[in-house]
Amino acid sequence: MAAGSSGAPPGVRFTPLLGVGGGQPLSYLLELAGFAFLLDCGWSDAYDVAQLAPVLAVLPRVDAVLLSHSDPQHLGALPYLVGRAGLAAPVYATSPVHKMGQMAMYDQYLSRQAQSEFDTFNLDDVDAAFARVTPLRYQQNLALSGKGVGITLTPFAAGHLLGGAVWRIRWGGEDFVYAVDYNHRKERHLNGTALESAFQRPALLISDALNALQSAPEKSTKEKDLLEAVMTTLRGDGSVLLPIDTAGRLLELVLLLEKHWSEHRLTYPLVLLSAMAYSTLEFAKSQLEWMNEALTRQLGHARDNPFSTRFLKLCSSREELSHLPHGPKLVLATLPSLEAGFSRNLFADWAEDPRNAVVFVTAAEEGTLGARVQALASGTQQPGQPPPTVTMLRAHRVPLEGQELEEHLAAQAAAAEATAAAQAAETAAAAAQQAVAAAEAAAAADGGLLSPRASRAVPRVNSVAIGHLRSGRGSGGAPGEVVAADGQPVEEQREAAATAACLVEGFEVPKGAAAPLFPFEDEWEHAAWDEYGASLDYSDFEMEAKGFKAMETELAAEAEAEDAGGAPPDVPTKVVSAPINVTVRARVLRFDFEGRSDGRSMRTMLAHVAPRQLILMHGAPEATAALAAHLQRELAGLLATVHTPAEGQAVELPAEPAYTLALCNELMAGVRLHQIGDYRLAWVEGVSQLPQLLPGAGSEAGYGGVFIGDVRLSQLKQALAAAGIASEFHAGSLYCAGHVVVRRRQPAGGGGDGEEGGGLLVEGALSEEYYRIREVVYAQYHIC
Amino acid sequence: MSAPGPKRKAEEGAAGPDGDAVVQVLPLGAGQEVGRSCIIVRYGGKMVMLDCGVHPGFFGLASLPFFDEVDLAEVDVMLVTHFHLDHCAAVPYVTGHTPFRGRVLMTHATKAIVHTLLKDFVKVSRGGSGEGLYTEKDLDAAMEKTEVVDFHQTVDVGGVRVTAYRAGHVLGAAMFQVEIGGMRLLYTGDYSRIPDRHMPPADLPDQRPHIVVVESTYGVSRHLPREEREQRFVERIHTAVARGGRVLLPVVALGRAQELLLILEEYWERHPELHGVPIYQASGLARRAMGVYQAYIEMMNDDIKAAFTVANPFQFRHISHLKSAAQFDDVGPCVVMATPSMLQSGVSRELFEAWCEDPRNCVVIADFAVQGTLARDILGNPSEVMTRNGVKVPLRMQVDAISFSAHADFPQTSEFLDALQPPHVVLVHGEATEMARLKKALEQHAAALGIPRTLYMPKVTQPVLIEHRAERAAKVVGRLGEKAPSQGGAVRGLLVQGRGGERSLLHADDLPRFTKLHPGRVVQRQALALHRPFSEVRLALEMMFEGTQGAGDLGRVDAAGSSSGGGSGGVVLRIGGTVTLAYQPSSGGGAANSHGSAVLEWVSGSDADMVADAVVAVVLQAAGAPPGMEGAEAARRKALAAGDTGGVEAAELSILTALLGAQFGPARVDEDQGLIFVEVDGQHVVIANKGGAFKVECSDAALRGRVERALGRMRAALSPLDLGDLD
Repeated sequence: MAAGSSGAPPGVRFTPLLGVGGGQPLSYLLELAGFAFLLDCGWSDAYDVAQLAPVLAVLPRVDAVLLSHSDPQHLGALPYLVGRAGLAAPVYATSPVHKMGQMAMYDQYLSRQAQSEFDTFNLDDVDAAFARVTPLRYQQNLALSGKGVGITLTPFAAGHLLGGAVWRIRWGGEDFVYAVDYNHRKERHLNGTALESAFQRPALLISDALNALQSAPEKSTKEKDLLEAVMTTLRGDGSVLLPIDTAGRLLELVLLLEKHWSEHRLTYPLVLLSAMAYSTLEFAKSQLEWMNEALTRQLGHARDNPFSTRFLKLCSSREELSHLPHGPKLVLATLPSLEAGFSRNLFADWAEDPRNAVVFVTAAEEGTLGARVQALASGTQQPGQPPPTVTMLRAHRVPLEGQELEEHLAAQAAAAEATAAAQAAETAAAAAQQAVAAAEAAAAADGGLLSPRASRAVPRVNSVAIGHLRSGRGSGGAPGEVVAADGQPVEEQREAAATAACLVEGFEVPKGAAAPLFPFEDEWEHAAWDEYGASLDYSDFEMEAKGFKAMETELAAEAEAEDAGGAPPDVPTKVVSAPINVTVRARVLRFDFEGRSDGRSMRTMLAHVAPRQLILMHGAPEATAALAAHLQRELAGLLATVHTPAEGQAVELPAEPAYTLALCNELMAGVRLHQIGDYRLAWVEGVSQLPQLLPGAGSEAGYGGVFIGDVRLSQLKQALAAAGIASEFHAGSLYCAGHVVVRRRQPAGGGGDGEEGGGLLVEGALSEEYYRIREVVYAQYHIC
Repeated sequence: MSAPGPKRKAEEGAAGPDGDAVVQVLPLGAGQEVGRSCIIVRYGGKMVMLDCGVHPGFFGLASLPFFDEVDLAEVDVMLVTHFHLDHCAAVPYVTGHTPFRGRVLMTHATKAIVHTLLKDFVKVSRGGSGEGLYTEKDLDAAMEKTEVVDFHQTVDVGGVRVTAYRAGHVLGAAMFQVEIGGMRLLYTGDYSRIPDRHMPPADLPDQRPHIVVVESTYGVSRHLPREEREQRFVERIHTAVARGGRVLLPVVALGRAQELLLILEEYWERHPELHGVPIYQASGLARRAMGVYQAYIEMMNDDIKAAFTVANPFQFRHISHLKSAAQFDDVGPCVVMATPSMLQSGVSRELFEAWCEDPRNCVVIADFAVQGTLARDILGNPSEVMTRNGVKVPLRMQVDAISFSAHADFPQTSEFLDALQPPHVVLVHGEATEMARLKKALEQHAAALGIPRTLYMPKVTQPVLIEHRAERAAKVVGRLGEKAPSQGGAVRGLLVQGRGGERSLLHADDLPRFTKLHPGRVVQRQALALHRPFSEVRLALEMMFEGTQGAGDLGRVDAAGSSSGGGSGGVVLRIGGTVTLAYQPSSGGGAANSHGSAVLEWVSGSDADMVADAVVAVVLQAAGAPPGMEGAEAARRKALAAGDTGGVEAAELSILTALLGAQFGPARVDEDQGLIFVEVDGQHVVIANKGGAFKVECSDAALRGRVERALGRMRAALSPLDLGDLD
């Protein structure tokens, strides 16, 4: 921790890589003495590799990655960076960010993969990326070793998302704080941020200005508004689509809606439609210690896990949704951007019905379909105007058929041949590397085709996630999970087949059996009417003449279909897409459930934390400028500097020379500590005897005559009165007995017409009174 | 984190450094005994209570730790390691019925289970001996007050830094490291360094503690390896049920019970021939607390976590829960797990009394049995036992003790201490004989390895005092830090200690840069009338200050350049670099006018105030300067110009004499011997000049002090000031 008494430490450099403007993904580089931290690595919804260029450029230098939140804006690029760009540095995150981040990225991949040939990263990359994460607890001090020795990392609660972190990097006795997207308000599922209470005058604070110009509505009113809008739509026989993130703000909404549903005993289906629905809620159940105390208390008192939902139905495919009763329902669906996932298709289906509503609770990223639709929310509909139309691409996977299938199979056979050939070559060399090369060759041969195989060759969902999917729902909802590189069904599929086999096992038709189920005929079969007098039509009871073999295959196919979330995986598929025009007749509403501090609170909190250097990122130019100007003014007295660098423009912070001295007991014996606010101060005088500070030779060590504090005149007036000295205010000055005037001086550079320099001015003729008054004035200060 | 409650203690600054030097460890319970763990740690004006349990061998108030030994109002924070009654059951009593106002910390899982467990405890203790220690309301209030801490988290409680580490033992069990002003103490609570079926082993803290307070339940004994213990356990049970006997497993409802259930479940799974033998779990508590076990799966070991992803390992197939004794149909061989673990009362006692006369039956004591309980008694193989009705019945049933209680044994404790190498080890939570053996063994072991280690085994209420030299360091920052530290160089500045305890040493002007404090500024402007020509005043000032570097520079500032100089004919002088004197002749007259006014202006501070006072004195006394002053000043100036150091010294002596005379009374100088004699109110003071250092001799110490201080100021005014230190 101690920097020792070595020379001046090298400086600190901050480079914004992505996310200077608001609504963009975040990624910054912070270098401390040559140790480079990558602060977040977000990616925008388009997953465009070109966007990552600034990050890729510095990637080899990165020594550690810190993740603050579990959404793609903060960690979206991690799978790509680890899986494809060779990021090898350790990654640090809180355990919920680790788990929920993984859920979010699975969902991103699966949603995209279902509707496009998405191959920027795959599930293996996600697994590899999150295997790198060292999970931490809030306020756990992690001392780095090796190159980073002397650096301690500590995450603090940020609010906003579950496990969201404000990172403190402590180095050489100084605090460097990274705090973006914090929320000071206590929510249903989260406590507020520890930013304000944990930090005071850190050397550097990197923060955002996203909400600097927002004012937040009351929590109760916005919840009421949302519920009211939802209820109005449902009662008007319409359905509500609520696009939501995979594992972040979702939890807050779930608690809110569950409570509402149980309070009002509503029967409208409340559905969470997400590939990761079950896993997300399971993880939420076991992460109560990261949430609001009230939830933990609920578990302690009632032994009732708040995320054991009674009303929320979890669906991981459209099919499951279609099994629900028809009629109005509220569906929370991923992804929030409407760029992919169930929300996109649902939107296309539902938006044309004027009874329905699309409710957004978070802002969608610029340029996405979500953002385009949200834009409709603000513009009030003129009655005469035609409803707005949104053009979008509608895509889904279909199995290959006819010639395409043949082509594909031919290509596959060629690939298999190539593999076989490679294997033959291998027998000669028998080297492990060659196997890899062969596989690569195979993949390359396959990859040229319009085939999902190439991208599916590798996917293998982490066993944890699958375990949940399977045990809970019996349906994967994860296309692509079941096919291995060689086209053989992997274990999951075999299991499914085995289950299907079990189901029909006992029903093998005995040889020579007359009828499969009811081998004898009842007499009532010949009755013309039943016991209640209704006439009987025997064709109703006839089973379709189908052999058991057919039923068996049907069952197996069904199981497979369920397992694969609608798209039988071993059947090669392709993406079919067509541009469609969606006339948005449904109501589009927007409520603020972002879970971020509003502008006013941000200003107060940042001024309270009062960093010595402040870097503002991630905000619209005007928001950043306004916040910077406000804080510059607020913190002028504290000599703080506010930086608002442009993208790629580095901020160099000058090195602050310092050294450490040990204070010996003899020295401390003569020291009188004054408690002033949060601080304890004392005047110290000594002789440095490196590395110790020894007491100086017999001077008045405990007194340096330094005045500390600021005294208000009204306070002084009271003190004077207590000392029996009359005083009176006149024109902002305090006139005391004996012709002594005490007045306040303008702060330095304040530009007022009075005297400058700050502090108090005691003015008067030389007299006994003067000294008495001066004594009272002195008594108002702490003098060390 | 939040502001500590109102301070009840004297201001901490007054505690002084002497209080810092000694750490006091005082067991209020669990000193040479097992049960009612409660250890007080005092250091640097802080007081911490470690655990707060009851003694299972006693009832009511007698079971409490000896709280009277300390003023509970002074306790800053109470740390509860885990949910066993001998570690937590007195918490609601302390929070509800004593002046305790501190904070209470435990882990999430502990808090959740403690609530369930103590609710039961309240009911049981009320049913047993009339008046309970506290009510359910007290319990709820205590839980409301309890704050939670996560493993590896460091929480600052008003200067006490608390870090929780995993302790193994049971779900949520923690070891606490307490850091007060650099002194680190580790309290293990009950811990186990061996992983079992559902708990990970105890952590090894990464920082070396100065003091370790460690449990010594198992003394120098060694546990059998886990596999062997499990093997013996299932064999006993198997043979007992095979011969048609019933097996009683008295256990604590939570903790070991879950471990044993996991073992039995697995064994039954593998032995289909046993499927006809039912296993009952007769604790409603354990059933109800399962939700907590499921919620805090993250705190358990990796095996369980992995198993959890497939199916909940705590959903048992072969084990049925008994809701009440009435539900239990005692017809044949069976295995019953019942509470309490030491057969004091309740279901386990009932079953024991019902079964103890049949030699086919078997009781396996798997937890630690405390002295004074029936479980302990039957381990001694008595031929008969006393039932609760006071009837003696023969004890024929087989009694076995297979320890599954997850406490560290000797090799674990020894290795743990070798790894941490604390210089001081305090043994608690063990019976005197076992503890003494452990102490001896650990001492020998340390001596053999050459590790410095002092062991203590205090009795209850017997404090252990350990000296600790605090290491304090301050970071020199800002403009003080810019100057490279020099050997023997003077360092003067403000020592600032922040909330987190970090110290820095900085210049007063850097205060706003590093803290949220501002140096205060009081500017003084003093007006005084002059009744003599300014030139005379100026001469006197020059005599007083001129010629001494820095302080003596009597610079002249152009009237126009000064804001306070104002009107025509005004003159501004700067004295000592800190005080400005603006002279304004009264209207109508010129500079020669003998009337006018002077305005002194300076920024308050000890140095500037002194200079200003001196200036006032000079201005007022310009004519009536102390006799001999002018001559001495002139002589000094001359000697300085000539470079005659002896002359300067002599002249300075004369000046001092003159000044002392003016301040105290008749003074005279003996230049040959370098002595000054002063007479003050009949007291004689002799000041000897020994090569620049003055020695004041006087019979009255108070007067000597006054003279010394005056002399110091005068010399400061005469001798060069190092202004570099001031700015």
